[in-house]
Amino acid sequence: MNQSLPLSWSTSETTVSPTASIPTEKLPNYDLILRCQGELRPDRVAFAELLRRYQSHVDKILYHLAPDWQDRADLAQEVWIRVYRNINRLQEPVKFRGWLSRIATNLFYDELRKRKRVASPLSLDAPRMMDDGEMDWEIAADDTSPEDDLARREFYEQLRDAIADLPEVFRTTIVLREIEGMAYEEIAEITGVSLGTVKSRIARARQRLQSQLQTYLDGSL
Amino acid sequence: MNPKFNASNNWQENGVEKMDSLQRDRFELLSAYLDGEVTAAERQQVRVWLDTDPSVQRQYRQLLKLRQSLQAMPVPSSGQQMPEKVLTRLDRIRNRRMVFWGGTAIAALFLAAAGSLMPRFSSEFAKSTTAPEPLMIALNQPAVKIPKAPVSARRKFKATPFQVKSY
Repeated sequence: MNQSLPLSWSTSETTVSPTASIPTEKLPNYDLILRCQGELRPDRVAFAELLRRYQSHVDKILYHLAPDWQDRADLAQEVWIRVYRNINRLQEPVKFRGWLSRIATNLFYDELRKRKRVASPLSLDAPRMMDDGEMDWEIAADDTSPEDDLARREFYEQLRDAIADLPEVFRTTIVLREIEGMAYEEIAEITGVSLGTVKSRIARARQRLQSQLQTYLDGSL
Repeated sequence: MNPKFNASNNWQENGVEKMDSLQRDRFELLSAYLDGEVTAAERQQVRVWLDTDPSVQRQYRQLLKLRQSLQAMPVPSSGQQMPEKVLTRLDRIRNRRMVFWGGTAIAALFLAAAGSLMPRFSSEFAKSTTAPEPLMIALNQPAVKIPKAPVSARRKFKATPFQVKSY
């Protein structure tokens, strides 16, 4: 009794994708993600193209979450390694951007926890305690004077400093909202606090940034 | 005195009004409105403020600009070589794994071969290890056989001539 099933070694004969002949760099994002998911391991060319397209998004998230970390590039590499390993698990390719943000955020939090364990809990000043976290409300003593013709670059430098000066819990919360576009509920889930705390932290972070950058925000930049 | 408590002075010096709790609540609601995280009633309330209160209008404009600036702010890139670096790192990880599993397989083969060369040893070894018996000591019997003392031997020796004598 010898039964055999006809098996084809090549799946491309049976499932020819209409985008198969399109060069990787010309594929729309959705099809590019599908191409990365096509095999057991992502196609290297497709994956490199995907990385190129979304690299700035990952850089932006990590930059805002960890403005003073010198090894952000290593962290970014780690994000992409996780993407490479797990992209086949992504059920809905349209949600790739959010999924990627989540990977970067989770990795940041993993790393933050590790660093907190190692770092000494030394604090030179006692920040004011709020019911939704620590917040030092002192305005940085800088000598900036309002100038109507302030260059955009200078403004961004001020903004960058203001973000970096935010206490960590406030910075991460506002970044998850403004840079990653997460809903309050999602932020509450990631940061492990209540919706009310998320709402309050976002407002306080904005209040602080706004107060520090008021002269620029009123201008025409 | 903690210097942080002087923050309000700096706040006012910078032209920023010190917020009381009512203003803070208003600001929080305005902020949530910006994010679309308010109830229908709250939305209605914020819209009334926006229609009637110039200070809320100003704050709202500033918040919109802040959001726009945050999203448009240029960020240093992790470098153009990132795709190559990631793929190289993935290759290195894969190679390391192959070396590890290859080494493990070779070690397993070696052990299997060594085991097949010494069947008796391995079976005895297996026997001794697979049937563990609890250690039991009988309290009324010595664990080690104690040799008889020389005194009793001498007594025995003495008895022999006596027996010979009796013959």
